[in-house]
Amino acid sequence: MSDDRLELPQGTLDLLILKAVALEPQHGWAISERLQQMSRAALQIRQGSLYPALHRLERRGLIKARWDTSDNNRRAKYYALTRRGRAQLEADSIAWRKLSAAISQVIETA
Amino acid sequence: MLSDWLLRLRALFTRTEIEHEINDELRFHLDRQVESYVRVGLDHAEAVRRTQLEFGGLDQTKEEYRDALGVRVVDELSRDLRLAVRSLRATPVASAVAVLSLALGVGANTAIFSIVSSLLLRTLPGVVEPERLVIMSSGNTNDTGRSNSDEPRWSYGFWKQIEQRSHAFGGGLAWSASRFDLSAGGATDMVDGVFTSGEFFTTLGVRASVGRTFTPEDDIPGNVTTGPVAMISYALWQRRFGGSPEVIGMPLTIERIPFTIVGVTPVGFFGTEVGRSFDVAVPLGTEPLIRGSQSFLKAPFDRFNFWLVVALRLKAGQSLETATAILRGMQPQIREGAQPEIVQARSVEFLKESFTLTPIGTGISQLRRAYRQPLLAILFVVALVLLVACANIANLQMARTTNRRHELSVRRALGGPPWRLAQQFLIESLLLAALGASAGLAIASWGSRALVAQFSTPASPITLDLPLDWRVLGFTMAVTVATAGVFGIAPAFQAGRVAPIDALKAQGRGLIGERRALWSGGLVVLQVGLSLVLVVFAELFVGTFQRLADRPLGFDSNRVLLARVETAHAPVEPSTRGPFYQRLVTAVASVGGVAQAAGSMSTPIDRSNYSAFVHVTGIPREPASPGMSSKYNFVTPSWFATYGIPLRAGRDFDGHDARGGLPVVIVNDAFVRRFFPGNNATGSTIGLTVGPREEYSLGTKTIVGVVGDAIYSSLRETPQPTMYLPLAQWDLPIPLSGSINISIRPAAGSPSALVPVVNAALTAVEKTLTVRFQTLDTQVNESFRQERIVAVLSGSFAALALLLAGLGLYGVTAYAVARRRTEIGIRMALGAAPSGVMGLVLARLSLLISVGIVAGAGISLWASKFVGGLIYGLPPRDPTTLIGATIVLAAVGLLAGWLPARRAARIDPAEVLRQG
Repeated sequence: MSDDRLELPQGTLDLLILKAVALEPQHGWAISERLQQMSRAALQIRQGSLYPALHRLERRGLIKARWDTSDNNRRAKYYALTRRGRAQLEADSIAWRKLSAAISQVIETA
Repeated sequence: MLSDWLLRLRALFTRTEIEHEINDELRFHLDRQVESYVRVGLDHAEAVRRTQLEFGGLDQTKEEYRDALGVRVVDELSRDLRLAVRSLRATPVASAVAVLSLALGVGANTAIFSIVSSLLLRTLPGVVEPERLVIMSSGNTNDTGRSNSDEPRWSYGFWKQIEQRSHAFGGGLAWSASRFDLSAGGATDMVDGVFTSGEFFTTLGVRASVGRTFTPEDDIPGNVTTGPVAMISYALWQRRFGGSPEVIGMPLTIERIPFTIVGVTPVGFFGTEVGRSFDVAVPLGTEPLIRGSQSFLKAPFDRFNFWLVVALRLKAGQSLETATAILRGMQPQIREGAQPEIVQARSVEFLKESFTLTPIGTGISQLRRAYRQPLLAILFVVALVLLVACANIANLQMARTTNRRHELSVRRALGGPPWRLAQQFLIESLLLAALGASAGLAIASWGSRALVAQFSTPASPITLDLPLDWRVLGFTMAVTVATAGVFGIAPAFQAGRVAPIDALKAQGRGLIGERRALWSGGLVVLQVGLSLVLVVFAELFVGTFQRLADRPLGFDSNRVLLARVETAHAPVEPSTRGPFYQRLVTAVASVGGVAQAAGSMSTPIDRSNYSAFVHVTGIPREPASPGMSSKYNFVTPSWFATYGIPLRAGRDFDGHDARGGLPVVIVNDAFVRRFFPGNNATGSTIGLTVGPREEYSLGTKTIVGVVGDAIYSSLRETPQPTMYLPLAQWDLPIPLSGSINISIRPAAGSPSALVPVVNAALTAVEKTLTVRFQTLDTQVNESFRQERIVAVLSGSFAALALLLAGLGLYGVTAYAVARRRTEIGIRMALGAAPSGVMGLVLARLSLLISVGIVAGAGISLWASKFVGGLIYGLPPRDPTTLIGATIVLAAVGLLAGWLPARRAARIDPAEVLRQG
C-alpha cells in the first residue's frame, strides 16, 4: 500500500460522505468506492471508519437509511441525503472552500 | 434531536435485530470488496486478505458502530446494574438496613402525601367538569346566627329562588349532609346521608350505575307518583345488597319512613364534600317526611333555617365574572322571595352584600380546613425523617466506597474514566432507592388507610378515596430519585476521585480518608440537626396533647352518659315539647342505677355555639361587641349535679322555674368575673339580646345561682362566661328543637352499662323516639383526637429519627476508630491513658453534635412559626422544649459514640504493633 496517500483531516469525512450520496442513494461499499474514485485514490479512508460515520450522520438526521435490493440482487442498506443533509452539505462545502482558499493564501504568501 | 432519540430508543428495544443489521451491512461491504478484487484478477484468498487488511479490525468497527448507535450506553448501564446487585448482595445486612429505612421513609412520605393529595389537591372524583361548578356565598349568609357551620349555607326558600333562575346558568344544585337511621326499629343503624335537589346528579353529570338518578318530580314535596325515593351508594349496595341488581324497587327504611330504592351511584363518586361520603341520598322534597313538624321546608323554617349548600354549574364558555354579574342582577328579587319574616325589621340588611361565586375546585370540605395544617406538619416531619435516613445511607455507601478503594483504583489504572466509576455508584444508589420505594409503596397504601381510619370516628366517619394515582406515583418517583441523589451524590463523587496511584499503596491512607471524614462529619451534623428539629416538634405536639388531656374540664367527664333523643316522629306539638322533654328526663331519672339525669339543648364540646349579649341592669348599655356576650345553654333541674359542676352560691333550678314564673338564670364564675367584678351577682338582674344586631330580646332575668366554670365548646378555650337558662322557660322566638340531650350520671360503675335500660325507659314513654348514645368521655376525647394523632405520629417519627441518627453516629465513630487503630495503638504504647484515647475519639464527635444541635435549634426556631396554630398551652419557641431536645440528642449522640470509644480505649498496643 503506497504511503503517499493523504490522511483525512479531522471532520472532513462527514462532508465527503454527504457529497458521495448527494446524487443518488448509495450503499456503504458504493460510497467507499465513490470516495476513492472522486479523490482519484488520493485520500486514504479506512473502510471500517465509514460505517460509524454513516450512523453519526443518520443520528444527526442528515442522511436516512433504507434497506433495498442492490444491483446484484442482495439486500443492502442504502443511504440518501435528507433535506437537512443537503443544506448541511452546501454550508459545509462553502465553509470548506473558504478555509482551503484561506490556507492556500497563507501558504503561498509565506 | 428527534431522529437521534428514535434511533437510540430503537437500539434499546431491538438489540438482536440491530446486531443482525450491523452484521449484514458489513458482510455486504466485505463481499463486494472481495468480488471487486477477484474481478481485477486476484485469487479469492488473496482478495479476502486484502479486503480485511483494508477494512481494519472488524470487531473494532462493530464496537465503534454500536457506540455511534448509542447502544453502548445501554450495555454499560446493564453491566453497572448487575454489578450493583452483586455489590448490594455482598453486604446483605447493610443493604437490608438501607432498604428498610428507605422503605419506611418513602412509605411514610407517600402515605401522608396520598392523603394530602386526595384531600387538598384532587378535584371531585366522578364529577363531570368540576371546574365549572361554583359555590354561592355572600358576606352575611348566616346573619340570623342559626348556622354554626363555617360553610356558606342557605335556606330552602332561598334555594327555590335560585332553582327557578338556574336556567341562566348550566344548572343549579343544593344539598345538605345528614345522618340517617336505617333501622326499622330497635337499635339504631346510622349511615351518612345527604338531602339533594332534584337535579343534583344530572347537574353534576353523575349517572346511576344501576337504576336511575333523581328527577325534579322526585323532589316535589309530597309527590304521589313515585312516593319517597332514595339512591344508595355503590359501597352500600355492595355491602348490604351484595351488588344485586334486584335492589332497584326494594324498600329501604330511612328514619322509620319507607323509601323505595331507585338507583345506585357509580363507583368512584363520593359526593361533593371531600372526606365526607354518603351511603343514602334522598330528595330535598322528602325532608318533611323525615323531620316531620320540624321540617325546614315549611314556613317559617323555610326562610329561617340555613342548612343547604347551593352551587351552580356555569354554562360552557360562561366566565365566573359573567355568571356573578347575572346573579347580582337577580339579587333584589331573590332577596324579596327568600327573606325571613323574622328579620323583616331589618330587611335592609338581609342579603345586602353581593353574591360571590367561588369555584368548587377540589370540593368543599370542613375536613380540609381542619386537617390542612396538621397534615402539612406531618408531611414536613416525614420529609425530615427521610432526610435523616438518606444521611445514614450516604454514610453507609461511603464506607462501602472506601472499602472498595482498591478495586476502584485498579479500574482507574486500567483506564476506566472517573465518571464511569461515579456512574457505577449512582446506579447502586438508584437501585437501593428503587427497592426501598417499592417496599415503601406497599407500606404507604396500608399506612394511609390506617391513618384515615384513625382520624375517622363513629360519629363523623371520614371516607377518602386514596388511589395510587399519577400524582401519588409521580411524587413517590420524584422522592425516590431525589433520595438517591441526596445519598448517592457524595459516594459517587468520592468514587470518581479515586486516583490510579492508590492501587499501588497497599494499605494506603490517602487523602480519600480525610475527605470522607469531612463528608461524614457533614452528614452527622445534618442528622443531629434534623433529629433535633423532629424531637422539638414531637415535644411540642406531645405537650399540646398532654395539656389538653390534663385540662381541668370543670365537670366529671368519665361519669356521664349522653343520650341524644330525636322526637321528630313523636306525636308532640312543637309548643308542648318542653313538658314532654321533662317527662323523658323524669323517666330516665327513675331508672334503677341512675343517680341523676338532666336535659339540655347542648352538651359540652358538641360544637353547638349559642351566645347572647348581656346588659347588666343599672349599668349604661354598651354597644354589642364580642366582649359583651356570653354563651348560654338551656338545662333542666339537676343538670349541674349530673355533671358534677359545683354550685358556688344561690340555688339550682327547680320545678317552680317554669313558664309564667320569675325568669331566672344561673351563671358561672367567668360570667361573674366579667360582668360583676368584685360584686355578688346573685339577685342581680340582666337583660339578654340575641342576633348579631341584637334583634331579639330575651327579656330580663334574675340571677339565682353561680356555678363553677366548665369547658363549653372547645378544650383550647379559656372558660367562657356562660349562662344556664331553665328549659321550662324557653323563650326564643322559635319553638324548641325536635331533639334533646339527656345527660345521665350512674349511681356506680361505667356510664355505658346504662345504655339498654335507659333506651328501654325512653321507648316506653314514646316508641317512635330515636336515641343515640355516647359517653361524655368519648365526646371530649374525640374533640382532641387530631392532636392525639399528630402527637403519636410526630413522637414515633422522632423516635425513628433518633434511632437512625444514633446508628449513624455509631457507624461513623466505629469506622473512625477502626481506621485509626494503628495510630491509637502507637499512642497508647507511647503512654497515652485509655481515658485520653476516649477523649480523643469523643472530642470530634462532641464537636459535630454541638454544631448539629446549633443548626437544628436554628431550623426549629424558624419552622416553629408554621405550627403555632397546632400548639396549645406552650409557646412554639419554648426554651424548655429546646433544652429538653438538646439533652436527648446529646445523650443519644454520646451513647452512640461512647461504645466505639470504649473499644478504642481497650486496644492492646502490643497487638497493634505486632500487626505492623
